[in-house]
Amino acid sequence: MRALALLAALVGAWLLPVGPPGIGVPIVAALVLGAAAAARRPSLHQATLGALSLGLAAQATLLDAGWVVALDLCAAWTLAAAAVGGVRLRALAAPLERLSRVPELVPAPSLAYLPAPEAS
Amino acid sequence: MLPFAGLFLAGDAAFAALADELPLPSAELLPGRTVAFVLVLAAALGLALTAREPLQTGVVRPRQRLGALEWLIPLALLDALFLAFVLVQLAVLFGGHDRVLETAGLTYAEYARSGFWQLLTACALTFVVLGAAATFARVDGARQRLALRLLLAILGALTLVVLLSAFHRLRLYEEAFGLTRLRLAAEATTVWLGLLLALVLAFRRRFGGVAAVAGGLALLAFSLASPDRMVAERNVERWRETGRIDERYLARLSADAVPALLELPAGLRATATTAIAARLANDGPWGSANRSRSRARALLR
Repeated sequence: MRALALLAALVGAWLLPVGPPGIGVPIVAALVLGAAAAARRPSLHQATLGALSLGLAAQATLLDAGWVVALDLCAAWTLAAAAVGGVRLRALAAPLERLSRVPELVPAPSLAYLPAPEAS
Repeated sequence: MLPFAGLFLAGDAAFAALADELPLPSAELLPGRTVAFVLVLAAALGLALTAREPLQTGVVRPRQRLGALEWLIPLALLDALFLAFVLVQLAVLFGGHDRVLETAGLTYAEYARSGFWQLLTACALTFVVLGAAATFARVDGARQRLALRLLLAILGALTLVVLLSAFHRLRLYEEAFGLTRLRLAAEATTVWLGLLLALVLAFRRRFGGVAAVAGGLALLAFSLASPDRMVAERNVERWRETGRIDERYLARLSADAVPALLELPAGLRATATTAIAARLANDGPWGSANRSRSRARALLR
């Protein structure tokens, strides 16, 4: 999950800011959704919403109309959030709320390097 | 990695010379790349952390519910209001009865082209009424349940007719003034609201999940239809029929519209496609590869 998220961010930083939306968008979207799928095996309903989300993100490869692509990307995010958080309004903000738990993902130092407790 | 690379580059001229020959990304895009990195990382981690620990599910029950008369009377009155409106629509808009219009002091065209947004808002508000009724109405016994369902079903059916009226008005407006992105989006919204209403009535309990999938599919279909190309095609078609066209508006469309715009005669075509051709002059990096732009570039050469 962490590795895929980091890979998505690196690929996003490489592909997204260089020009108008294109094939880079669905590639990054696939990696982002892959990171979510790696965190928990998706159900059929979640997989359907995820596939739709990816399909909408892929419109950036097919269309030049910025207003349609922007609409598709907003909907893609909404569907991805609904896939992981359920179909409810709260799910839209849930990914932002859960960012407060990112420090938990930082690897803890090995016990071998911690000072041994003093013998009483 | 970056601090080490920076120190080595600053500390060793031979290493710096070697680095100059590498196709490293330019520093100009560094702020954009940093923003993209942070946003994509936040999106990926946010979704992954939400997937790992699903949200608590719980249904909020209102403390106070409305008694039978408290929901029955407003819903019946609302149904009656919608019915009256629908009857006028059937008589005037679809039936072409001018007698009603004489009292309004409008021509048929003026009447038909007005009120689209008000009708759309009224239809959107119907969803609030349906949601409120499902949440706050207290239903005791089979008779009350049947009455509530019947009143809501009538409201839904009448709203569908109101939506049809709104769609009809928009079509008349489009025939008079041509299709634009906004009008196409409004048409699509009207159709979507109608579909959503049908889904509410058909899948009351599983509505959320069905609506999410249906919404995704509907937007996908709308995108695959290529809205800008549709706008251009309908305007070209209208030009063939009436000789009227707003080529300056068409020039603001995207590369998706190019195949349709090339059907115009040379003068109009030049006005409509010059700005698009200038925008497509340079091939972008491969990360921006896009089928519509490639096709338009090939057609305009």
